[in-house]
Amino acid sequence: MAERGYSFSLTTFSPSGKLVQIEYALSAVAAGAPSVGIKASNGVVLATEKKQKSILYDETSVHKVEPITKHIGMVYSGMGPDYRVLLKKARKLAQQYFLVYQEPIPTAQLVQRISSVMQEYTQSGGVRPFGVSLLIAGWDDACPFLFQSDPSGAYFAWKATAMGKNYMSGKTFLEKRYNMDLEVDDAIHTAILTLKESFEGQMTEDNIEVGICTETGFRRLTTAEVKDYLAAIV
Amino acid sequence: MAAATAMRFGQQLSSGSDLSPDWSMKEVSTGTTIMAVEYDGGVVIGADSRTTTGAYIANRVTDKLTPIHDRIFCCRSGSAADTQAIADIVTYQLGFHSIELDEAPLVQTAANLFKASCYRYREELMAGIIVAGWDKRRGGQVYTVPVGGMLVRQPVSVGGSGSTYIYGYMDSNYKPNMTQEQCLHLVSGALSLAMERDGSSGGVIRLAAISESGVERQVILGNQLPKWSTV
Repeated sequence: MAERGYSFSLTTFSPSGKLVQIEYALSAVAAGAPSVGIKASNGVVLATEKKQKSILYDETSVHKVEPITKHIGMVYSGMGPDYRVLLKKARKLAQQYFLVYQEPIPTAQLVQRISSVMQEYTQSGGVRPFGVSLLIAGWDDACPFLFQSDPSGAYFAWKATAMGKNYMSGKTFLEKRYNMDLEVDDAIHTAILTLKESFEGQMTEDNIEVGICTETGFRRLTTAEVKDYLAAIV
Repeated sequence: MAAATAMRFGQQLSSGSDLSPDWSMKEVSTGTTIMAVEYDGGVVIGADSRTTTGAYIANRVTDKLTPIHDRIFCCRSGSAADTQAIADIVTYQLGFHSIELDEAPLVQTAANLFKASCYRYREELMAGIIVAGWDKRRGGQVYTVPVGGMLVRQPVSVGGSGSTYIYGYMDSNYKPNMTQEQCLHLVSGALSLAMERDGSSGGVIRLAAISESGVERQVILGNQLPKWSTV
């Protein structure tokens, strides 16, 4: 493709109008571990596969589903180290907002600000785009929200979505399964089933992570709780 | 302190007696009596509710007990603006710190963050702060950060302009290992005495008891204040 010749520089458009580095970043995301987000009537569910390369890893020490504030959490697909940078930034942005406005940051505001950061890295010298797509779940006032943020800086609000490996089949699965009246418990069930579609091997409470966001706030489910939901599936 | 002396000099020139009213020239101050007491299982903190600009009481129902985190509060005395600004900044810093740690923050951490700001900007600030709360490592703790920015942990601490009137009361009535009830009694009694004598303290008594189970707040209204004098 003539594209290839323009792929070395982030800040150079290709003849077809693409920034090829961003396309490549999206490929890095699509090659990453699957993650799923579902918005229920009374909350949001985030779930991801967390396969460790060796049984010697201490999987309890590092997490993929992480809180940003008491009422917002996120998960990713793609490059872990890039995720940690954005996570730290998001946490700082949320605190900064509170310092100025004396109010917890609305989910959409946080998403807009973090996406803005990701966009900066597509229009600056000497940097590369982030190799992650983020799923951000939040609860403002009485409403649940689910957003996706891409390496390009684009963000989307979703009712349900999947990212990472086999995301297309994940999305197709969700299209069939999703309805507006799902409650958080059903949504957790559906999210785990969606992950199972592309899961190689046995799914256990140690190789997936689930987070929920309701009116009481965001939290990661304990391994015991995940085990219970898994038991309901078999 | 430098700002205060410069202001007084300027005032001598323009005030004459009453060319400008007090409340347009004096800094807004939480004149104040504040205190905090440790007990086994938590802390009890208390404050009066008077904010003054000179002789005018700008707010007679002030809340000087400010939450910094779920189980960490600070009692503010000195400049209202300075202490609010510092408290907001420490809330930011501690919130960020605690979410990164994925753990409730230590009272000592909060106290050190206050100390860091109060010491670094000691020339510009007028803030006397008592940090108190509960954490799972050391239980109930009281740390005092007076003007100047020193930090020290004390089982009991009093602060603000009204505190000078109750050192004797505290020294003679505080005993270690009191219950939460006894602490609430001690604090409300002490504050009542200070509010009686200190012109910059008054209004209502605000109390808070912080323990593992959470924070319980209460208000003692003016007509319900403990009475000491029978006159």
